[in-house]
Amino acid sequence: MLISVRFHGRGGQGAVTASKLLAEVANSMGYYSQSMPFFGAERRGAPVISFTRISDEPIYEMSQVYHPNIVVVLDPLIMKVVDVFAGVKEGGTIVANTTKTPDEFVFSQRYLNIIAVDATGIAIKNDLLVAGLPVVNTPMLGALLRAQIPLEIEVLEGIVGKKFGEEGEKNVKAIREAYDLATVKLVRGSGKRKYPRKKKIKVEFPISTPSEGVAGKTKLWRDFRPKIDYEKCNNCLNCWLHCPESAIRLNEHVEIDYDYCKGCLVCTTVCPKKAITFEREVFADV
Amino acid sequence: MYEVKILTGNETAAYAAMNSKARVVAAYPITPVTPVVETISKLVEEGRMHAKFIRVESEHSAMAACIGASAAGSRAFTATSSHGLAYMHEMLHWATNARTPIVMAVANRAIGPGWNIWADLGDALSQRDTGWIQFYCSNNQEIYDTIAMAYKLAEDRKVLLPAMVCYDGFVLSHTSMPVELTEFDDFLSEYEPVWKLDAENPFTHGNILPPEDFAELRHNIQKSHDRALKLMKKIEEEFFELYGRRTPLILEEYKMEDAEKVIVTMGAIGSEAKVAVDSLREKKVKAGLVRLKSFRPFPEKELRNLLEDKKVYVFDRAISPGSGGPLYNELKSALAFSPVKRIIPKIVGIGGIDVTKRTFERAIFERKVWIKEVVS
Amino acid sequence: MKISEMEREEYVLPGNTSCHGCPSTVALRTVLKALEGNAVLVIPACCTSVYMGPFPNSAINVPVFNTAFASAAATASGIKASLEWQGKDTEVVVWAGDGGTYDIGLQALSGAAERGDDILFICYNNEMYSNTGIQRSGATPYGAWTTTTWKGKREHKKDVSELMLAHGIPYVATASVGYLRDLYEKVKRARKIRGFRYLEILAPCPPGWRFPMDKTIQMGKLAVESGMWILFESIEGKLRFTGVSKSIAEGRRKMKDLEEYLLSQGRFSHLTEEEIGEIRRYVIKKWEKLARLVEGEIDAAVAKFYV
Repeated sequence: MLISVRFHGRGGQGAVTASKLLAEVANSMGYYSQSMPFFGAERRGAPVISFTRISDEPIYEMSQVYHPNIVVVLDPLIMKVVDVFAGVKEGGTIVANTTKTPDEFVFSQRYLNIIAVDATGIAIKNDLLVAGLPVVNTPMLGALLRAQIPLEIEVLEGIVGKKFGEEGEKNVKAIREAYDLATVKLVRGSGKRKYPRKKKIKVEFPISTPSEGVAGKTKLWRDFRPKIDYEKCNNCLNCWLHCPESAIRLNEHVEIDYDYCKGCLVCTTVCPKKAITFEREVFADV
Repeated sequence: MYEVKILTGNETAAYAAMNSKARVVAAYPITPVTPVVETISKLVEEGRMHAKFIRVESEHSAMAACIGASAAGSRAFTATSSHGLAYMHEMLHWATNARTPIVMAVANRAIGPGWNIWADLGDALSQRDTGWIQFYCSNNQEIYDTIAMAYKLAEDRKVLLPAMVCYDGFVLSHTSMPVELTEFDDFLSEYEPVWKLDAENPFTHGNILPPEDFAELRHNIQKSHDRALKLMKKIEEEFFELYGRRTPLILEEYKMEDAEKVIVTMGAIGSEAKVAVDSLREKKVKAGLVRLKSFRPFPEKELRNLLEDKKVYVFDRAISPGSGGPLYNELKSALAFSPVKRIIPKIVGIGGIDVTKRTFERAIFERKVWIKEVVS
Repeated sequence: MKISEMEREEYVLPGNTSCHGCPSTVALRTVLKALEGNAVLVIPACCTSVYMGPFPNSAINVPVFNTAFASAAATASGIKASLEWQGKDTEVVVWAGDGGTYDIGLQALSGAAERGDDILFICYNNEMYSNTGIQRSGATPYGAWTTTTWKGKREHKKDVSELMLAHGIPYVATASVGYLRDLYEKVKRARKIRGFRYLEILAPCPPGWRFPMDKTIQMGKLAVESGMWILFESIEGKLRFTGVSKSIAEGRRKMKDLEEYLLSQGRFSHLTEEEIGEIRRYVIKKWEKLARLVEGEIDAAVAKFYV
């Protein structure tokens, strides 16, 4: 038996910790296990992957997982830019942090198990926030244990409870909630989503060209959406001056560039007229 | 038009930098290369050398400043030795990947402790994996010519790599001999960079390079070394046609036509080795010499062709502890599948032990690897 | 200066890889606007080397040269020498974190300052090594949690802006992300001066300091209002307090309590009364020291600052 799990998330969501926790759970239940993060040079918000292998025999693989049994998608929007279904074995499982239902997923495998859970909602509800951003890794592990995997939720709860100290209780609660609320369904594949392919470039000199969107459309990093109330706005430009993302444009009046706004909400705090409010971001098209 | 002057190796290097039109010099004193720094300072202050001289506070900064100057479009020069070169190590890698064609003079000296200021090629040889082109000179005229030739090679569009021109500390750095101070106007014009930092044309140099792109960059650097080797022959010819001097870049042969026992070595002792060959031939030993000039790129094919069917004595003035002589090891692997009779390692001249013709003779007649005393 | 009169062109482009609420991007954005893009940036290892994004693109729209951690000032010296040789008036700007300024970069910084090379050296100081994930630096304040001071740092920070004053360079100033217009104007003034200039910007980092991402600017203000960070400017050796710090020094404004600043950050949440007292003593000493350097009639009496 070799179960391999691939985690997709963004920096700050705890994908690497989740991958390691899973390995710890497996280990304490007598399995061999391995957790291997792949570090880009992440900032919070940048795409991150991590891998866990669980086996009843010693594990010798030292490469990344390309054909996982289970994929855990911690970030609801990462599917826009990363093919999280790539290489997933027929009949494998996708555990997704999403507000959608399992039937809405598009993939080319014939059948996959989809486990859907709104982990972001659960994290916010249980106050699992670091620097204002929801950390969804523990509820996602709770949902993961609904997959075909010989690990027990009580063991996970025990480890998390011990490990996270004062935060343990909140995390354990979130794990159980996610486990209970997750929807599990066997879904038939209905095609393949297209992803842009990376162009091969000759690298004679390490020289790069200035351009917008070096990290893609960073709207996908947004958990909260700021909104300008133009009735109240007096165009004082404070939001423009203070935007860390250069994502407020100056036209007739200030305008938020929703393609790039990461939703840090700095603008909401510097507006003297309190003309900028925010709400939780839910992308309809993802 | 040129004059002949009696110059030390260090003074020669300074004049070579001036006549090669180096426009930014950043350097820090260290024995035995200090006179290069002093001479350049004087030449610049007297208005004879047209360059900016940055009196940096360390060798790490010297190389950093040269990299910056080169990236901004200027021909940059520096000189160092021993601990200074070791301190630069990080920036040597940087210069290579940045593709900045800096030329540096290195007066080879041992690295402490205990403090040892004398000749030993270990300082430069331990930088062999930094991607720099490495030349080892055997007399002052060669230092002079090689610095100009190194710029020509380093700045070529097909190469764009930094190059160090090495010469034995004190043995060459402080020994005076006549040097023809050729002006290089026909040979070397002002530096024309392929790219340079320019506010009119913004780009970012050296940001994150993902694994596959990084591999591509490194592969290109390897290919540039391969191309450099080919270009060296062309530059040698061009230089000879202009100035009438046969200054080798790859290697020099001596009495190799009928040689059976061949000395292979580098640097100043490669000059002494000629005397040793003559002496051996008087004793009816069919001796010959291959003085390797370019250690990086390493001219495998050329060496293989020359050393087939020979008994090869490799004289290293350096030691890679735990392995052996660096030149010996490189040569052994280069000749692995050649019909060479034998390759024999010799370690001589460590920490500045004087190397005489008799050192070579004793090393060849006795079975010792190490010669740890002066053989006079 | 009115915000509407500031440069509109963006030189830090949107869609970069910085964290939410990054103080470095917003500061760099302001600096490059003040320089109107006529600058070559030299960047040693720091968060900026990452958030500019990976090859083959970059989020910074002026020439950028990345260099090794220890060598920012020296690399800038070389670039400047070359540009001077070419007769170009481009400003060469070092943009370094506190690691590349206070610690590993200090030797090169001091060397370039002593030589008087015509460089604008800017340190964005987030008081820790944030790029490697929140380790202590020479700029980390006493008591702060980092991943190499789990129980709080036991030493006070050193102060490189004071060290730069001691170098006798023509321009030394401090700024805070909380006051971007002040930063903009200081860069404008520094640009008019030749020689080595040093500007240090306090850059409150939400994930590193453990405060909500929307509070970057507020934290930058609170640091100054509580007296923990002091705004000053020294031109040709004449030092003066600026902005809110000036009002505090002249007794026109009361300092906010230090606790309000410290306890709004997770990195200080464990502090005891005694430790807060230790920080308070340090802050008072620092004010006194600076006040002595200020020309004029400013009374350095502690009581005045802490009414």
